[in-house]
Amino acid sequence: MSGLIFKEFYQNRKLLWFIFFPFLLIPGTIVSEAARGTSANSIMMSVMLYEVIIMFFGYMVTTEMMKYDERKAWAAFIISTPQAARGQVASKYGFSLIVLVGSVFISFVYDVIACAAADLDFSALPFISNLFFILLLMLSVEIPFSIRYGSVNGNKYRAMIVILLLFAGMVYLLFGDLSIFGEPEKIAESLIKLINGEGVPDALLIIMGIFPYLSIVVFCLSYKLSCRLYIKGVESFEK
Amino acid sequence: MTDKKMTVLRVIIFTVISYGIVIASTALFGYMEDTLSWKIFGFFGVALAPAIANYLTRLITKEGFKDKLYAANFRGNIKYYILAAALPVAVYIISANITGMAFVPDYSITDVLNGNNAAGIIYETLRIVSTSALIFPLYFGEEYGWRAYLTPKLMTLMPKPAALIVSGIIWGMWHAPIVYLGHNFGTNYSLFPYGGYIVMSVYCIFVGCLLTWLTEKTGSIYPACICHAVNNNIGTFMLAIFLSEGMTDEIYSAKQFEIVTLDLLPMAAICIPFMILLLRKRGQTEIN
Repeated sequence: MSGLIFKEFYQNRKLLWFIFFPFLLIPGTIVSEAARGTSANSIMMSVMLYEVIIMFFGYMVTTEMMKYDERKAWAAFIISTPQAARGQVASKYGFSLIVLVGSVFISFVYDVIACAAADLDFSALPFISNLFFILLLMLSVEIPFSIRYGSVNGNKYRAMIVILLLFAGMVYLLFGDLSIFGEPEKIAESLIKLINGEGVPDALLIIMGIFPYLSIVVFCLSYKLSCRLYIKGVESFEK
Repeated sequence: MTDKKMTVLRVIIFTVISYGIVIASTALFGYMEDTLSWKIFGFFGVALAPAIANYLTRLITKEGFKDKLYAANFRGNIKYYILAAALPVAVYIISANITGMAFVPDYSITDVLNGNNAAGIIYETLRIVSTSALIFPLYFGEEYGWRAYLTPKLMTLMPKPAALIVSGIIWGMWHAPIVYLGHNFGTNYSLFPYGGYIVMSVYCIFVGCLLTWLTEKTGSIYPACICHAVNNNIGTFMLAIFLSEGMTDEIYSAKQFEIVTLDLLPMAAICIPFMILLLRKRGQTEIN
């Protein structure tokens, strides 16, 4: 298993650098913002935005991993090994989990450094943690889909989600309250309030608390489903 | 050099490096001073010191890097992962309650629940557990040193009970520089700083047994990392909630040592069954 995970790291090594690049470049911008006397809320917003970028790159790496093994010869080989299809699927899930947890940790390190540099008593970690579990849930749907119907269709699924999000955004822009966009600081403030559970109804608070655990359960179920779908998926490979 | 002498040398080198890093970090950057240098070098330096010591010792003594504890071993071990995350929460709810009863005048659990939003407490508890479990790489720094290197090495040198006690003392005393600077117990108590060192060492002996048990049971250090992370983060939160009604800052700062010591006691006590399980286990695969 660890060998197969290592293979994933080797195959995706170039993409993995993308997670580190923002981390290396961004702290400087926060320090310069702080030096310019930008307000605390704006810096918090920047910190969260940059961490979203790091997490997004982590997610992109995991979405790219499927295409490398879509060959019938490889599938036949891996099924004949003691690891079998289960090992192949487990390596994909293990790799995704390691990359996403790694992205959270890089975000956390960045968060500590950036907030200390800007002299802020703030941590975006709860925000990043929520984002992690949302991405985990998205992967739980995407991986079995890609395994069964191939990475090309997996990309279509991803494109569909992006289109849906854009559509939701457009609907909001047409009919929603746009006053918040005039003051970006308010976005940071409301996000922090939401994560801290301020002004959130009790029932929603409990759902927000359970959500991370639910996404872990869905991720495990998704793994079981992918193990069942792998052989069927191999039949649809072109090469 | 015989194997035994080599192991002793490795333990000494490991201990010197891990102590050296924490002493240097606290001396240079000053614990809890919210400066950038402390955040970068102190915070991460201290947290990662035992793992750095593990790597350096292996490098210096040409031991090699073969290790079986990297694997997560989820299959068949999910219950231990759940236990690692849930046990500290359950214990600290009880211990914060006991501490409240002992130190808050006219303490009432109803007042605590009325004063705080119950849904908010549940949300915050679940959030702290999930977030702590996510930042386990920070605690990997400690566990990869104490549980994956020091404890197994000591077990080859002495009987298991002695090894657990010695590793607990080394781990506890490793906190000495930050305890001296006020970590956990403050600086305002009559036994300062030796009382803090003693309590921390005893606590580490007991909690070390639980973490070693988790590591042995699963053959992986990740459950111990998660347990350590949750344990460190949930205790402060529970104490803040259960002491929120009726505890003033003056009482807290005057009795911080007693409050924290009492709060740590139930966690140490709950580790006794795991210590017995660990010592009773014979003929099973041990760490490494």
